[in-house]
Amino acid sequence: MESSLRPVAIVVEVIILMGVIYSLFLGVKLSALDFGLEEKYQRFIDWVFMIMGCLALVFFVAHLITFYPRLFS
Amino acid sequence: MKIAVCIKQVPDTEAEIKWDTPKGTLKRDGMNPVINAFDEFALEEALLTREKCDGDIVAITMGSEKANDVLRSALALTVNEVHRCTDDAFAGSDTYATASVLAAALKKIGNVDVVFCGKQSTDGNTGVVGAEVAAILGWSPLTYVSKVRQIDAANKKIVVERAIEGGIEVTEAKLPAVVSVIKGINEPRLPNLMGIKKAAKVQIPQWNADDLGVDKGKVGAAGSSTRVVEIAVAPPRGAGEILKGELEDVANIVTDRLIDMKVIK
Amino acid sequence: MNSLTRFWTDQEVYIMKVFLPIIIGFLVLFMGLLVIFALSIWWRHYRLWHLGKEENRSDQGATRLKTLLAVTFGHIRFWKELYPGTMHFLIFWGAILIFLGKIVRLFSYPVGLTNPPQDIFKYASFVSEVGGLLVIIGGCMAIYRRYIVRPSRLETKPTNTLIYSWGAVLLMTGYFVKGYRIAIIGSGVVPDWLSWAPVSYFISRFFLILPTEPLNELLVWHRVLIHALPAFLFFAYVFITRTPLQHFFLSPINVYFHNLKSKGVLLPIPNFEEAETFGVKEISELTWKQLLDLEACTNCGRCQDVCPAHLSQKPLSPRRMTQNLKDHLRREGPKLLATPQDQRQPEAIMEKTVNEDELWACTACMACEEACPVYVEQIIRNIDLRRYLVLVETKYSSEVRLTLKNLEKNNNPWGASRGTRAEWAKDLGVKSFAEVENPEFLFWVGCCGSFDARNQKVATSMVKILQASGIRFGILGNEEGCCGDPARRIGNEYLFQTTAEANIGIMKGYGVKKILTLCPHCFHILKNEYPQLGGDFQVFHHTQFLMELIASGRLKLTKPINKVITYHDSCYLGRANQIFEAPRKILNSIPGLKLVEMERHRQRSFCCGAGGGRMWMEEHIGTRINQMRTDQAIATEAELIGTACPYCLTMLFDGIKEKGKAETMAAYDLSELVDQSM
Repeated sequence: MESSLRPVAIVVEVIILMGVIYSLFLGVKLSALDFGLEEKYQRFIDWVFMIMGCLALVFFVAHLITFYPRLFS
Repeated sequence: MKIAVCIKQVPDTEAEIKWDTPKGTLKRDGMNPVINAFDEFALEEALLTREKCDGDIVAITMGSEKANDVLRSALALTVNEVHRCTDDAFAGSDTYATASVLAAALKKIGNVDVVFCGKQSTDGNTGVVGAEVAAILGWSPLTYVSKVRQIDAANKKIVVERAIEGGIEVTEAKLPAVVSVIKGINEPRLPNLMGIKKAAKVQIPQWNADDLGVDKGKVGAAGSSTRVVEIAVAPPRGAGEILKGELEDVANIVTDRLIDMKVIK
Repeated sequence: MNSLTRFWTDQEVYIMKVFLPIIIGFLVLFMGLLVIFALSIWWRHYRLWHLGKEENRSDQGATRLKTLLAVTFGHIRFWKELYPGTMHFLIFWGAILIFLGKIVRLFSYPVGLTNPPQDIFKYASFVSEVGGLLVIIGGCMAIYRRYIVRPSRLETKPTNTLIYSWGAVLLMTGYFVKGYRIAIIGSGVVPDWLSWAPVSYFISRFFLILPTEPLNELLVWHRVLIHALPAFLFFAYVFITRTPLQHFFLSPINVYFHNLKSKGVLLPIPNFEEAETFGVKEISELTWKQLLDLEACTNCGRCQDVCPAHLSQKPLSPRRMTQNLKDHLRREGPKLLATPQDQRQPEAIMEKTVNEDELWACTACMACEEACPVYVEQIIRNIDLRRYLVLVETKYSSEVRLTLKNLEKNNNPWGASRGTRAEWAKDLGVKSFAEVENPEFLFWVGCCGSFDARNQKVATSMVKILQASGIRFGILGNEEGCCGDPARRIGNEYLFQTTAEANIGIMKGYGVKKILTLCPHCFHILKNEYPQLGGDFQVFHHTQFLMELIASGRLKLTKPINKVITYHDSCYLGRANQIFEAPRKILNSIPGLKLVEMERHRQRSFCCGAGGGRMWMEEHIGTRINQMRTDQAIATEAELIGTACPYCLTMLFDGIKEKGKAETMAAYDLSELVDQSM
């Protein structure tokens, strides 16, 4: 019981965190466009955030696996 | 390039026509005066020519005070200069007398390369003034023009298409020329509002017989060499007959009738 | 107080070192954010609106406020469509409830409402819980609609998706955070969390598997990182960038300043004599309210769904035009503001932002204005653009040119000789107004009734009815000129003014007080627009008049017409002047006549295609609008179409022929039916 729930909890956490990351990154990108960043830089920004997002994902998973507390049953 | 346009104010043919049969003239008061429809095409052709070749347009008319309206319409269309030829002596002029007045005006303007006018006026419908002006001035007469192909002020050359029965005649002539245009040569534009408003405020210059150096004895009703002797209104057309039935039968009846009337053989 | 203390929820927390600084930090930052919001409204919105011309929309504050409250809180403009209306209502009220509950709880600790939690705190929790659920339900409805159903009128951009994803994250984490708290508290402090926060309670059961230490940490840190911080940034995003969610403040402002006059009433050009230019060429020639309209448009597409031009494949979409103009404003506005006024070189609107086909396709039917939940006004703006094309550039099709010429020369758009205007009446014993002793009405026949063969029959029927009822009336005959509607809708304001002033002069000269019109366009313009030029008359449309006659018993309808009829609501009778009942009452008074309604009737009626001067232009693109409307009539299986407008009659009459239904269907004006039944 104990360890079988831990991955579930970690997955849920990761989903929430990636949701936050996605929203924040897209928000930054759209704000930049709204404030005058030119259309031609869109592809570049997409790639940068994509990479950063992947890095964040890796970080979150690793961090959570290591530090997520031991759960009760 | 200097482009001239001759315009005439005529009564509105849409309105009811009333004749002064003894005098052989139209009863013009009470009739809505408008610019001669063919002259609108002439004006438009002048504007198009100015757009292509750069230059100035002068519009002239022979008429009473009311004729200022047609000159204002021309001004509203951004014509550069206008003149009204007016004198008591001009009243009742026939076509040649009118043409001589217009010719004098054109001479006074000076350096005119081309004159545009409508092929006829919708009141008199004589259709000769344009050619007469050319004859008086010794300029090339180009009538029934359906298209101006080329106009070259520097080389004094003009090439036009003339609508003749059964086809088109391409004519090259020397400038200066008097070009009388037919309906459909172009689509006359309407003036924009600013043009109308500005034109409304302009003082229209007028020239009388002395200004033009015209012999008063040779113009007006007295000086004209032609005179209208009789005016008759054509009898109203009969009601006509409506044929009903199958298409085949009606066609047969119509052909029979036409043969009877000797319209077809 | 630097040590660990027990929070009211029984958690151990560093209140002074950790908890309070975080709260204060957020409040300060939020204040700062509000200031930035105010600045942003000014810099990125207000300044742009005031590039436009002056317009007074501050009258009748009480009425405006009432409408604002009704639309904002009651959503009265949304209920025309049940699904989107419900969906938006849920999201809106859900959000309000969440915030209400949150604000109460935010300030509850210092005022001692939480230790132990008082009832008001628990109620506030419940309110937020319910609010969250409402938003979730509404949000799911919205996501389903936008991404799965994909109605054609919705345009989905990345910013729309962002709002949904961010909102979903905030909702989820909001419940989670509450769940943490409940998990920590246990049943000690509040025994009945299940009743006060059911969703959070449910979630909290999952957190019981976590030990206390981590739970404490979760509550403080997670709360900040996955909920408070993203929430704060969400507000920042909405306040500062020009995302569609900005409609939360732009739309209410637009609703407050909406047009209180009847729809479809055009305005004269101010300062006509001194004006150097006419109509609208570039963006700053619109009024500030028209510029606000552009920003208040939420891109919902209701206008597009009802626009007859759009539905018949013309290039016009009202939504698209508004959005394009908005983009133009946002792009060009700052450039204009940055240059001194005499050095400005504004970009023209036509061709780059709006193309001519779009503009001329509009039939001025006002369906877009009727459908818009936030009262965006499009008709006046479209005609303003036309005015520039017509009066300054003289740029229009040859059909328009011919119509304007006909109006100028002959005072009617048909080009018929003005001397024949009264020919239709010559054998009917109709007198001219001047000859009638003590006339009750001037019968304003209109150009269609005078010159068009089909509509002359309507005028004739009307005359018979008037004579049978003993009404003393006269016509102006050849002195009647076009009311000016085609000229004004085409955009030739100058021609309209000269025509209208001439008509007013003639009518005043004869001492006309009451006018009876045959045509809704004449009716609308004589009643609502002639006063702008000094012509104040009491104007009636023939359906109002006929209804009065029938209701008062002066006219008895005895002969039955045993047919099924459907009534076509004309745009300028219905939407513009709210006359829906009179024609129906007339039809119901004719014995034997059975009325069925088309699906699009009353305010939602579908234009016949002739308005906006389009009667005088051919349709070169797409399906013919009149055929579409005829199809809608055919679908009701009616044998007759009843109309109250000469344009509509012509359009539907032609439509029936074009659809090959002339054997089974016929179109009649209501006065013809009354005449038949008399």
